[in-house]
Amino acid sequence: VDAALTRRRTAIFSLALLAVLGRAASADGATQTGILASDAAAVDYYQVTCSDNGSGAPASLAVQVQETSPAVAPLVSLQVQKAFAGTNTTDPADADTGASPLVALNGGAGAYDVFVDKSGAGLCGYALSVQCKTGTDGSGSDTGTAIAGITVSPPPIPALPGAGRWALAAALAALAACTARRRAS
Amino acid sequence: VRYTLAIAFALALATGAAAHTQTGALGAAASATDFYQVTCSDDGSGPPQSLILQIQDTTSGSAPLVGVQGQRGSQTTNSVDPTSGDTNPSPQTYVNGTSGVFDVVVYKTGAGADSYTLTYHCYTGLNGTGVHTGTTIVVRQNQ
Repeated sequence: VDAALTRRRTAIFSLALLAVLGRAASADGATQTGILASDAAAVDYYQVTCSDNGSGAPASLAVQVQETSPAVAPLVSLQVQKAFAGTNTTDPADADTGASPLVALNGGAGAYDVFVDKSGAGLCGYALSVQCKTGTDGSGSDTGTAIAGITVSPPPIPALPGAGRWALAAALAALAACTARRRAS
Repeated sequence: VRYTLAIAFALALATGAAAHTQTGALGAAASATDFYQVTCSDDGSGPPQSLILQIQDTTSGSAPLVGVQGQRGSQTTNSVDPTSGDTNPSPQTYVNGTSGVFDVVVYKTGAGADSYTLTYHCYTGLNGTGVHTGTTIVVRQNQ
């Protein structure tokens, strides 16, 4: 039981770290990692804005999702909408290195709604790739792509094991003592 | 005669509330997506505060799973029927939102033609509570 608990905590910690790193590294606007909350109805909602960054006017948005959970989990899907048009793609296998099929929505410049969800209950990590293209159906050159999270699941907070709790308590105590010394001086 | 008409009217109303289902079919392409817009309004039962959604995959065999995803503003939800072709639909889910248009997308998890029954109802309470109120649907994309 302890080994299983440790594996679960390690998996949650790894997913949380990946999510933080992914969000920090998303300034290029083309990749985004996250973790869907356990609820089967959980959806992460992003808006991707396509614009002409000098490479040409956008004609389509190409998207792909990869499930990154280290264990068996629900399938991860994404849907894209703009105006009255939509498309979708699903990563068909858990915990492998392959992503979903690449799909594209022809919507020109402007904001696209992108939704990441899953086929059942359970925490699920994912890596979302988005790229605005100058041609239809994902063809042509890369052009201006910006992504923003509208409603995104917060990273899970793993429960610390006994040693972790003591280490955290010691660190906080040291910080408090240091602050008190600074105030005294 | 009046009694008969009253019963017929009551049955019609009951059927109206229960008949908010939309059958559809997704084509073989893995990316096939059907897009609906559901409008919630006050039909006299009270102003709407949420939309309930549920989907049933009606194709048996090795068809992909079918899911429904709903959105209104920043509110979103999702539900997938875990078994193709049986008599049980997906878990019921909801999106909170007042009178107006909700976007509803039906999708599947892989290649292969698939049929479905989508159930949608606007309710006067949050989280799918309260009583049924005005509900209409239009098809925006049928793939």
